[in-house]
Amino acid sequence: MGESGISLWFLRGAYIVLTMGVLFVQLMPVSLMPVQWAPPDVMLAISLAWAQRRPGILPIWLVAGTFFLLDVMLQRPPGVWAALALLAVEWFKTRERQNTEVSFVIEWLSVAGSLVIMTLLYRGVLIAAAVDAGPLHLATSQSALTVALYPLVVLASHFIFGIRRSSANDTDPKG
Amino acid sequence: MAQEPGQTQRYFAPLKRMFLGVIILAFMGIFIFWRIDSPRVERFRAQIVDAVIPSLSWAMVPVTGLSQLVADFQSYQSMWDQNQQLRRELRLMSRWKEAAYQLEQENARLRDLNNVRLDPELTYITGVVLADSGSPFRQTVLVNVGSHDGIVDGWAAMDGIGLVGRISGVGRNTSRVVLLTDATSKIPAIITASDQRALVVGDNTIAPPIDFIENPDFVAPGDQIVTSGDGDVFPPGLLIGSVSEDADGRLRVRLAADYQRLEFLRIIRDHGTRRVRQLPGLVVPEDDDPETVAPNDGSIDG
Repeated sequence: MGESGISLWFLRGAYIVLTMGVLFVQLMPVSLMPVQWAPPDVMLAISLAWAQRRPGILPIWLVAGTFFLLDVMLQRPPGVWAALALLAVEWFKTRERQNTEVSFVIEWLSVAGSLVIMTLLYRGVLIAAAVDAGPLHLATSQSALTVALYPLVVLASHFIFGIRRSSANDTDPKG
Repeated sequence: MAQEPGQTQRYFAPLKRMFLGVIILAFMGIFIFWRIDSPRVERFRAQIVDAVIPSLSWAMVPVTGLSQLVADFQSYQSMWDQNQQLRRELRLMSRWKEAAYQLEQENARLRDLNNVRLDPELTYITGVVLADSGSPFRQTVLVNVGSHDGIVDGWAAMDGIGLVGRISGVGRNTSRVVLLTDATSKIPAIITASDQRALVVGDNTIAPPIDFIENPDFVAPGDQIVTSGDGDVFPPGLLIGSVSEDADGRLRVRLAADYQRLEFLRIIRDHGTRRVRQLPGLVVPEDDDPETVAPNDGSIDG
């Protein structure tokens, strides 16, 4: 597919290791007191950033499996957040192909917008199904922190994994 | 090379879109199935957690220990203040200890007079906390005892002093405890000073509010609140905490269990002696006396 197989599978492996790392940190029983803010959805930020730079790393099965595992392990209602995350990642993938020269500010804004839409849809589905959606301030703080984390994720992906946006006339097989 | 992705794209795009659609539908199906038959899906979830967490715990235990060590180290800074406070509390406690001894003796005498048998089946299994829920929306912990150790859904979990939560979701080697602070936790309770029945309802704060008090006028902050055993959720008489009033005048529970430090939990074995076995009709005493017919109230008063 124009991308060298080894680095592709290396990055997929890194994605799985990152998922495990996030799960590990979140599940550590350090504090059992209820908190007034929620940590960012790190895997979503990573997925959205990578989907726009190297869509080949994230096939549908990998994203679907990862987010379903996160749903199951983090005691969320299974399926809803996974479906929304998968749709968002796929949408950003097609967007990457349409125009490759998007400035970062627009990219950041569109990520923020999609997070707001996802959170609203998520809470809408839960409320429609009469499931307790949890306090609103937790959901807002989670989205806000994810948006705030996004530039850091992009920088880290660039410098640690060498994942950067490919320009239109780039013929380098590594993308 | 640059054209190649575009060409394969043309052939695979419809297939991919179909695959995506199938997965999204499957996710929505799972969610609907979970909404309809939650226990079955939750059992599946417990099995996955049971498979994943013990394999992570070898690394999780030392890291958690280390972070608690750091927290301990921070508390050294305020050691002098704590020491003074502890001395004051100790003086107060020694007075209470004396009172407790006297009460214990009196209690023993009264029990002897009444010929009371204590429930011999109220024993416990101790479990270590492995993980929390991983999200601030749910207040649950995972303990390292499961169906292998005879844990059953619905049993009570306590720390040394007070009630912590209820078992909900049992895997083979792990089980999940829904804490009293979780938004889905509702525990029938009784306020001992005034015998008022109420419900302790979790709301994601450290002090769960008390709802459905029969008559709030009789309840004062500081009263002790224990489980009532209503609805066969718990054995009666487990200490939950004391009543307190928040700034809005709402009654809340100050939990007796130390939620900052939940490392070991006691899972109270409950063999369901209070369970009603014949649902319809009246419960007839076992000594075959047809004259004394007790009403079916489902629980022995505790």
